[in-house]
Amino acid sequence: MPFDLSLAVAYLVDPLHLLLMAASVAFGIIMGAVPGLTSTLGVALLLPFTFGLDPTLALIMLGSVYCGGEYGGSISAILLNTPGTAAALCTTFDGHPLARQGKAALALNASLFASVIGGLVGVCALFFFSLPLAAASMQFGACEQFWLCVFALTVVASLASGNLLKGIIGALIGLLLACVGMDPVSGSARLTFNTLALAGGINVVPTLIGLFAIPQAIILASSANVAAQLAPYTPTPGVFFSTLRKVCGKVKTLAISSVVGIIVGILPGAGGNISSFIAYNESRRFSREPEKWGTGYLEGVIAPECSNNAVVGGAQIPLLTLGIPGSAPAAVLLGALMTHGIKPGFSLFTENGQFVYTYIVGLFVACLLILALGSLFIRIFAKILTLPKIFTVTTIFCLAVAGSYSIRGLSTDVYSMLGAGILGYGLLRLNFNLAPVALGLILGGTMEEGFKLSLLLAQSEEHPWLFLVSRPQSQVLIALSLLSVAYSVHKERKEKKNHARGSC
Amino acid sequence: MKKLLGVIAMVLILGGTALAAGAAGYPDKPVTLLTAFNPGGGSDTVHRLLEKYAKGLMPVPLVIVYKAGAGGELGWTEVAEAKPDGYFIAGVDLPSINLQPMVRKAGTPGYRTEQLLPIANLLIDPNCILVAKNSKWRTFQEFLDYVKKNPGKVKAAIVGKLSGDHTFLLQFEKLTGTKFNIIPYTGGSKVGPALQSGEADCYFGSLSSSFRLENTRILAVGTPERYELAMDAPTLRELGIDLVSIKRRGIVGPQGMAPERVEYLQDLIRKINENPAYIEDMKRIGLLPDYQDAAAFARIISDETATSADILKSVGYKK
Repeated sequence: MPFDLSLAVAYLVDPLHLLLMAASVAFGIIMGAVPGLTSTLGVALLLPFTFGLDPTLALIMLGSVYCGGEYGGSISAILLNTPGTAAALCTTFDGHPLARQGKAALALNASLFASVIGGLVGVCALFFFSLPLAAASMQFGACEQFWLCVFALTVVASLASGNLLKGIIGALIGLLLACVGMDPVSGSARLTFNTLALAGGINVVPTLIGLFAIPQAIILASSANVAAQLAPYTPTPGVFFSTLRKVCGKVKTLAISSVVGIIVGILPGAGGNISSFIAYNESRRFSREPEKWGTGYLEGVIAPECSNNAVVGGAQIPLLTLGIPGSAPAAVLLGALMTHGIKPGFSLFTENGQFVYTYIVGLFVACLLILALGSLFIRIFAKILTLPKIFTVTTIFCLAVAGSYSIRGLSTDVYSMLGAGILGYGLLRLNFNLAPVALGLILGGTMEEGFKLSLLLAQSEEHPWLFLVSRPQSQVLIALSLLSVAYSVHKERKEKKNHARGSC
Repeated sequence: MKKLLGVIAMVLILGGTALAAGAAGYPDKPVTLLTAFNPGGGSDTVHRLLEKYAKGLMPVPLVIVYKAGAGGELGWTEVAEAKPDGYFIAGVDLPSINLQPMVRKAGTPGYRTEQLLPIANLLIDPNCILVAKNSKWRTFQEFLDYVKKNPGKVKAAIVGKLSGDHTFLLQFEKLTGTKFNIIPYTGGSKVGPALQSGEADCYFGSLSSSFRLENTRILAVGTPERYELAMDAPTLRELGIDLVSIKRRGIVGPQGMAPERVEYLQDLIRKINENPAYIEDMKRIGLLPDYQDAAAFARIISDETATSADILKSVGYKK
């Protein structure tokens, strides 16, 4: 390859470049940590400021924001039970319970290390395997988009933990909410009650914020002692290194999650929000103590965080090699490449190798900067826990409203956030788990689009009825889904038997 | 009498200067430019270039806000109903602003095309027929012959139902007597993989897409003459099909804006268009700047309204 590593490193260690990268990473972390602000928005906001810069530096800065944003989402997920981004949703399952147990420092550091490791693995895949993996990603069409969502939906069975019926009802509520608005393929309006506000559909991120943050705030506010702090937080010296040792010991979880992240990242249209669910579920399946997940189990933080950062590298494989963005922030990066006059493609690697490999090495450095800046941010943000609850509750409400509005500047999004909050609180009181609702909402649109496009595509086939199940790529995903369901059912039966024996 | 006339003249002159002074006072605060799509998308890229090159030509900054949703409809409704003080304008797409109100379900609220006051046209982006580089059709004629022999079998990708892509394809079908299996994807970024993997056989839509996608070939372009940004590709007219199909993007404000404010913004865009660096940046992303003043842009919109209505009627989408 026409590339000189020493030149790239020399470029990156330039103090000004390092400083700008650090600033971009910090900006990304904050964008990710504030609910409603996403890494997509962060990259888009920074884009106009990079117009005057040289393309390499511009791209590295934008990539740094992307990396930082994917990590930042975990901070508010752990501390406030409010996912900063949709991809950080799974981090709330175990991250927040850990914080409530007074182990916030452990959870925050674990998420930091997992993110950095996932990010580095993803970037390595981008560096070494871009060209072969890009070719493979083209085998993934509308049918597979549908089946991948089906596979992700099988997670419900394990998320519902013991109450499958309520889990399925929750997922169906989520899918129903995802139907509101225009049909993604035919364009006809559904469940909009003839209003223009609902024609654009229910936006996923504000709804997730409402679903998780508002019930949390209500529960906090209704507890007897609102002046007390949220959770005990005592920074213990040495937690940094002891956590690092713990995280590095979870090789299996890290491996599963980063591979899931890379694969989901490569596939067009699926990003960190889907990969973190799959990584959580698969790591749990292979865990020795699956029953402890969801109660504040450290690997429950590691798996989703490692995975959503591995997406960063994965999503850029089809972006740089084919001009096809593998995720939403990658789509903004494509716009950035174009405005800087760089046409992505295989030729970029052969003719413009120095540029593209310097950029990839830059992403590597950005991951390391996350490690440095993240450990600093953790100490500042963790102070939130020591505030009296009354302040935390107010902050959650303010962030939820401001964050929802800032996404598209539409008041509809604030209403859907509030509506989802009331719905979420009601469901919690009825002992529903909210995760399946969120999963249905996140997957609904993508799944429907894949399904309907497949139906249209089938019309050009000889056997239209078999199209959805005839492609080998689809069959792999179908088999995985069936296995996943069968395994969950089997496990549930075994647990029930154990229970019955135990109670005798 | 003479005195009276003199007084009237004085009043008129003073009034005139006062008015002129008032006009010179505009703009005295940032002008908001609404993007009806997501940050980082095609419209945003163009608006960011306007923001970049407006610096120095205007005493206040151009501020971009996003109201994305429903294919632009939410944002354009917002600008149609905004205060017409010249501080709130929006970027629009043609023919979308003509098509959307026509196909909207009766009783659903939303902007009407005539509520949007044209300020200037920015650029053109012709429609074209795009195939993967390794497609079995080497030429347009081979493509046409195949489609004629296999009606309803060839999978044609478009972006959005009843969009500019869609009407282009419908016109093509009607003029050539062909029939495609139409696959409406939700975004331009989804079309790329579809073409590359062979999921879709061809794409009917914006030529600028070919700038983002590696390994594609243009079979034919919908411009009247050879298109500056794709000189090698034949036009549909050359190939014997009398079809001209071009998308446009421009700037509008709410109806009721003061004429001198419209003129101010129109001149601003004209001045931006005189900057060679701007032209260069636009061409690089596959868009051809085509400045048209407010009056010309208004004519284009109303001409196209008639065309769009005819197309929809002829294919049975509109009574």
